[in-house]
Amino acid sequence: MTALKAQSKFIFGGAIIVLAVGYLIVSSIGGATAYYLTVEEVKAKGPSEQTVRVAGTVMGETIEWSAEELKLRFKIADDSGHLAVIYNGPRPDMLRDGSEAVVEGRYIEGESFEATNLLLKCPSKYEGAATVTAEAPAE
Amino acid sequence: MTTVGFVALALALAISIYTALASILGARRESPKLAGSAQKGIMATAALVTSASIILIYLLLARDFQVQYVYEHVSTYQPTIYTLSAFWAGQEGSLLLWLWLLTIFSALIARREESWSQELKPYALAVLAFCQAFLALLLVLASNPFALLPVSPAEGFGLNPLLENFWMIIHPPVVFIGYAAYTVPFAFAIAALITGKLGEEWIRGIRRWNLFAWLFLGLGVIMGAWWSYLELGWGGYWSWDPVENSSLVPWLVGTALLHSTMTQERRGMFKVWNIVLMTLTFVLCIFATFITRSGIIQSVHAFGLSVVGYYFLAFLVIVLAISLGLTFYRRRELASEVKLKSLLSREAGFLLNNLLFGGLALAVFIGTVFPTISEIVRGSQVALGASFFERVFTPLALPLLLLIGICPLLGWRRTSSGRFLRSLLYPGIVALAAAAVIFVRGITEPFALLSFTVCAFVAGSIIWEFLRGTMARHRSTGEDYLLAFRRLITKNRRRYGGYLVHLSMVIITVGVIGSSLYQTEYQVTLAEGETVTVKDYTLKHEGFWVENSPAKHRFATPLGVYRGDKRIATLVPEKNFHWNVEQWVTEVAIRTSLKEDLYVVLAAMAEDGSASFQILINPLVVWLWIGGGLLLLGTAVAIWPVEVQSSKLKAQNDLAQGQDAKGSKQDD
Repeated sequence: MTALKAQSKFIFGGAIIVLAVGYLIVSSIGGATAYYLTVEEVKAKGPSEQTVRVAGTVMGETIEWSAEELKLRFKIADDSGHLAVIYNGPRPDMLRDGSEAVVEGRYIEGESFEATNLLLKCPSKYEGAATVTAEAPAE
Repeated sequence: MTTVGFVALALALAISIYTALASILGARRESPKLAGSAQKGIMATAALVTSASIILIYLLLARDFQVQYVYEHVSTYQPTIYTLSAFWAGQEGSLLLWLWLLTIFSALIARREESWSQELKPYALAVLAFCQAFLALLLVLASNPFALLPVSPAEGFGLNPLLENFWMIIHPPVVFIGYAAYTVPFAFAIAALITGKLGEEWIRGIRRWNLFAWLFLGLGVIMGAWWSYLELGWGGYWSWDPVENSSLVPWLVGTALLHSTMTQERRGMFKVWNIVLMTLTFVLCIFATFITRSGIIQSVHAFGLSVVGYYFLAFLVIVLAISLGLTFYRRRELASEVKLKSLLSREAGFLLNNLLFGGLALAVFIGTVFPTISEIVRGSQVALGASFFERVFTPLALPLLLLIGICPLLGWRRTSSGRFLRSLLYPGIVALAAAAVIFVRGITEPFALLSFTVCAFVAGSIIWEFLRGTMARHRSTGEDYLLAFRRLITKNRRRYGGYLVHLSMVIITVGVIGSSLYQTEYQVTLAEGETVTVKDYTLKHEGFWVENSPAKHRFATPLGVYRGDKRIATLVPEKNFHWNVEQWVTEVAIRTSLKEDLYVVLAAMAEDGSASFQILINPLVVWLWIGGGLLLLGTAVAIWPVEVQSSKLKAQNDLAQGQDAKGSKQDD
């Protein structure tokens, strides 16, 4: 009888832990989810405190890096339009014309997107890209 | 040459299939002839795959650019070591390496005659051969390392510059050793289910394979983090990227497994649980490969899309179906022999340990696949930020850490609460003293204070165990303290090796807390000759080096680092343009000390000679790597084969272990 009681104690305790872990996971998902929006959707929503992600292609001629302010500005484009992005931080190696970019941050006043996170993918996938090398740099 | 390599792989595939069937039939019909031929099949596969691997190594070193794999990963100007490590720089080579390791491990199993494994071995070999056949099938059908180009180029593409790093030379083989080694416990789990020999013998027999696989997977995770810290230049070592997470998940489950198998060995409990964990660990290794190779989940570690991922998915489904089916079939025989009795017992501690490790693994797994699942279910793409993992990980990891300090103080079955409370005394004093010191030194943030205190408590409890054991031995045997300390460890390798691993976890935690809570970042633009002071470092921009080589256009800025007036280091952060990938690659410069890392990134350079730097101060990072070293040492101690014991010695040891079982205190 006591053994049975002890058993139920463990099952009860275990169940509480399992539920707590489940609750922790579910509640944390809610707080950390960022939705992907298109440029059009971002602009339609207007300035917002909510963190979102926007994917687009980097427009090479718009990249501007200011050494004084240590600020990076560039535009990305998707099918629905262009979005000006501001990012505080060093210029990532893979930021160049045609790179696939995902910017995470907030749309702020003044029609630009303040990114806290940049994810970039190279336009030419490394695996499979083929160039013959060993040339001096073009000045 | 390439034909020979390919034919060797095709033969390995055919023989593996034969071996799997012959091994099962041999056991069913009790035909030694068939069983013998299956053993020979394992050996032949190992020989064939070894030859194929040697051929690939030869082709790489000979820089035979007509071979597509060689062309894609080797160039004439890259150092020989990277020409060799190109073996596992791409998918085809990595899979071959995995298969190679698996065939070597299988051959070791086939050769070894041990009493516990006699009945299980034929089935385990069949499972191993089945896994070999799967990898060989991939290599032959979808990912042939010996494929030829129509022409023979004069120069190769060369290694991805991001992989040109010491840790990238050894990280992939270490991970694949872990993956391949986890196939062995899985194979024996299936064999145990088929034969119904579900007792402790096989769990005990497989213990060292479990530890071995776990060690390599763990080291692989740490090396990957180290590589990311040195090479990716964002100042951190862990970004909760799917590729990183997917190698962490099997390790977490494997850790739960190490503890729960101990409970089965000692108390005959958790049988189903152990089988499930063993299968799960293996399946998660396969899943990790699926994630990294299929490209279904967005990751910064782009490996490119590949059909190979879907082969892994199919394999995963087959493995899961077979294991779950067999477990269900044996469910009655898998019942526990004894029941949990007391909350204050080691088995209750291990139960909690398993729940928490399981929770951690589940959380990381869900976080990793959530964006993909959500896209499939709801149709809209979402991303889960790093904050999810931070929020979930800490409340689960901290109790786990605390458990490390408490669990070894609990005996099996039942511990009296008075004795348990007394054993908390010294670690408790250490923890309070440490908390006071930390507080006085200016760390007042409640979370940091709490976690450092827990670390101190756990470290105190582990060190106390060592001290107590040494003193008891000194008293009872008269050995001097040093000898007593050494004998204490060598006579109880499992226990004290485990404690060293526990200590390494504390050290790693200290590194993680320090570097994640107290990182400071500065951004500056310096003209040549100009200086900047950050914290107690002064950095001076000392000009540029520009250098052209066949591989890259190198652009380096030496910085003199001073503390006060004393020059303590020269850091040279670089930005290099690599011709092969047509890409700038940043090389960070780091000055490491036990207290903190000074981490400098060259962010941008201007025509006038000025340069912008990102300067980070990362406290305590080096302790992560030191902890990794201790993890290796501790596991090596626990795994080291016990010298052939005379029966008398064995009896003594058993007696000592029996005493442990009554309570962890031998000397009260």
